[in-house]
Amino acid sequence: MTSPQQSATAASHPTAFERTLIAGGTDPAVAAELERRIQIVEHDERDEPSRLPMTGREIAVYVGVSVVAVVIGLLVVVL
Amino acid sequence: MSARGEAVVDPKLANEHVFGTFPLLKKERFWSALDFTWVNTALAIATWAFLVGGSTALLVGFEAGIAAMLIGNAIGLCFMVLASVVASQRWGSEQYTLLRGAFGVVGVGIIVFTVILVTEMGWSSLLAVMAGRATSQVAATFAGTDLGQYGPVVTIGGLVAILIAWWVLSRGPVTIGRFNAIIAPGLAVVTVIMMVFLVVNTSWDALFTASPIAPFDDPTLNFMVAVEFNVGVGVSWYPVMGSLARMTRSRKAAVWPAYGALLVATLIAQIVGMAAALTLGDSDPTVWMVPFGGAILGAAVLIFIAFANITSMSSIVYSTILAIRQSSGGLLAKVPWKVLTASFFIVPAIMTFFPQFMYEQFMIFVSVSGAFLTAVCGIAVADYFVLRKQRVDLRELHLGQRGTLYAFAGGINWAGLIALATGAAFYLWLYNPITLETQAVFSVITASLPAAIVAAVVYLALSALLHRGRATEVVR
Repeated sequence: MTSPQQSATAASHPTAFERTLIAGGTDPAVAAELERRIQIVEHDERDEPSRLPMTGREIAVYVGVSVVAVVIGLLVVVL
Repeated sequence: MSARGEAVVDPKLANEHVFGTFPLLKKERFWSALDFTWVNTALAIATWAFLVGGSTALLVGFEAGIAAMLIGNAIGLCFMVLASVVASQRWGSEQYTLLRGAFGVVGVGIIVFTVILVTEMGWSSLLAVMAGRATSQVAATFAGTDLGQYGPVVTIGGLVAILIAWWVLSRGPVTIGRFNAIIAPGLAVVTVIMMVFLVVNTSWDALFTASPIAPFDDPTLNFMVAVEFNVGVGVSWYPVMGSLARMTRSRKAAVWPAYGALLVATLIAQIVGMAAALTLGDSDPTVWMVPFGGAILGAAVLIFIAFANITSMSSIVYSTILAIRQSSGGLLAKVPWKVLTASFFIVPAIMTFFPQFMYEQFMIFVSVSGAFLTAVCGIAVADYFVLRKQRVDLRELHLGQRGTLYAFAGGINWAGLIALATGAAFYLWLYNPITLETQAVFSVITASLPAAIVAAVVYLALSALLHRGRATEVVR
């Protein structure tokens, strides 16, 4: 939940990231919200399965399924 | 507008939500695998799929056509999903922000305002014309007169479709998702109904023995061009998939529904289009649905198809507008969402006045846009999986030129843009969809996958050359 109060509080102690964004013309509330979200992604949700990198096995299975689909297509033509 | 579960009070923040500036958090990623499957199904079974099937029938017969469509879509979707869905789902960010490492902030802007914008305006125009044709056919049925395949009612119907799509779009992604949840299952049923009508009114024998409509002399070349065309169709989902995938709950809910639903739904709809083209000479159900299904059922199906095109239009334009806004460098920051979306539709609205042109140039459009999109996909995969090993720095991405990791001279990563040009040029050398000239090797390797690989290799080589010693992550 985000509120103006939260944004104002965060903006009153901006990080280096926020300060750089603000200096570039980004609204302070937007910069603070970005920082808040990135912190959640990097820390609170870091170990969430949805935030983990795709494993080699997952990639292999995924590409393997595509290869199987191509082989089936080729079999349709050949047979 | 905000994603479900995250009440955003500050209007400025709410506005940035609309434009996809913020990475989505766990509680905001509300699409399950089933939700995303329906979204993709609704996208895939728009009438463009019928047209793709019909275009495939120009070159090959029924069995070879199914094989070409399966092989082509499987290949195209495989690297399209890796290039767009995986990173966007993981980081909750739209894909064009994530491309900043590969092309630079200005470089992404160049791609978005050329390749992506032209591609999506083309698809939107086509969908509007198709919706217009469905409208025209329904009107002709009830008026008892022939209004023509490209008559003024097509234009009027197309313009109304654009207006409705703009309204749906202005309501945001949640509304788009709700529409898709209704439209997609219905479309699956409608497609089966159309196939039944086709078979009942022709025959399986006629279908399997039908000759291709306008093939080249070389059967192998026919098959490979058909495969290549379908690879281009699979890749053509690239501009929209990342922005949609960021709303899924997990990688499984993103990757497999994106790949599987697009593959299966596209194939089913394309097969119907191909069967119609082979047996009736026209893939577009707006032409044959009323004569076969009767006035009531035929009109009902066409109305449904028209709505399906509208939801497809809303989905692809939503993602494109996010890309435009994020890539404009602040130029469009003050433009309201409704105004921005309305601006996008100006060109498609103009194109509805030239419906015949859109249909006749369809195959060339898909292939040429595919030449560039395959190269973008190859570079995106190389950048995310090989160069950055799936690690991105969200702060640096948002800092862009004000940061260090993704800042390049003039905002352009020349490694990315040169690789893009090389990949696209290689594609067009292997297979020129305008002149239909091909190299001998095209009949073995086609064009899209080799072009994507060339673009990826050139990108990695130039990155090693131009950015030697450059860090790929910030140590904090």
